[in-house]
Amino acid sequence: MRAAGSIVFMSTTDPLSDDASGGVALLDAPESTEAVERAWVTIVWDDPVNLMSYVVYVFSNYFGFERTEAERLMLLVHTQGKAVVAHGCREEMERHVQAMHSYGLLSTAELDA
Amino acid sequence: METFVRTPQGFVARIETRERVVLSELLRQFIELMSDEGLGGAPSWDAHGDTDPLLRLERTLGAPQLSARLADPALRRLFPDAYRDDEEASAEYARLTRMDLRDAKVAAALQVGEDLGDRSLGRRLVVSHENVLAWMTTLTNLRLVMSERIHIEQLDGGFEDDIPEDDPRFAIWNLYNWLGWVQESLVDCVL
Repeated sequence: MRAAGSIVFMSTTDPLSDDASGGVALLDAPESTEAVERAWVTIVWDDPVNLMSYVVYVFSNYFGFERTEAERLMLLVHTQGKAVVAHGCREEMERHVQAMHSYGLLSTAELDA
Repeated sequence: METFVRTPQGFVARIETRERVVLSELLRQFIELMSDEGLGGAPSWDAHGDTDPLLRLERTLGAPQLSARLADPALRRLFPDAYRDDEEASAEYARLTRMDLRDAKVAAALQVGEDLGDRSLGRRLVVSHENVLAWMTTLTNLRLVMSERIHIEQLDGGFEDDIPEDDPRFAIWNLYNWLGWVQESLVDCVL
C-alpha cells in the first residue's frame, strides 16, 4: 500500500506536474499541512437538559476518552459553558459535530482562535 | 420501574405495564414529529420508505426550506446549527446531514419501541449491549423535545415553585424527570 501510494504521489505523469502555474500554486501553500489540519476545533456547549453522567458517557463512547479525561471535559462544559473536545481539519470537525448532534449535545465547529 | 442492573444479557430493569404504554406513546409522538413537514423537507419525504438513492438525492437537493430556520424550537434543538456565526455554512451542514440525523433518531426510537414491546420476560425489560446507544440517544431526544415544550431554560430548577399543578406542562415536567431518572440509571450501569 505504501509503495503504491508513493508512486501515485510522486508520479511525473500527473498532468498537473507539467503545468507551471499548478506547481507554483502548490508551492505557495500559505501554511504547513499540519497547521491547516489542526486549524479547526469542535466545541461542546453546556445545556440545561443533558445529564452530567450522560455527557461523560458520550465523550467516552464516541471519542474513546479515558473516564478521567471525559469527566474533566464534562466539568469544563458544565462550569465554563463550553469545552474544546477535538482539533483537526474542518471536515473532521464537522463529522464530530454531527456525531455530537446525534447524541443530542449542542456542538459547533470553529476556527481555532 | 426499578433501576437497571447489568447482566450478561444486557441491562435489565423491572417495568410496569403502564410505564411501557406511556413510553411507547412518547415514542410514537416523537416519530411523528420527525416526519413532520416542519423538518424542512418536501412533504412525505422518505415517508414511503424510499430507497432510490437518486430520488433521495433529488429531494435533498430540491429542499430549499432546509436552509431556512426551523420553525419549531424543539426541532431546532434536535438539529442545531453547526456554526455559530456563519448561517451559510450552517445551512450547508443542515442540507448535508439533517436527513441522516433524522433517520438515525427515528431508527433508534423504533429500536426502543421494539425492546419495549418484547414481553417475553414478563415485567423484565432487557436492553442488550448493542441497543444501549439507541436507548441513550432516544431518552435524550425525548427529554430535549419536552424541555422545549416546558421552556426549561426559563426555570431555575424550581419548576414546582413556578408552575401551578393544574398547568398542563406539569405532566410533561413529571415525565421529563422520570425519563431523566431512567437515563441516569442506565448511564450509571453502563459507565
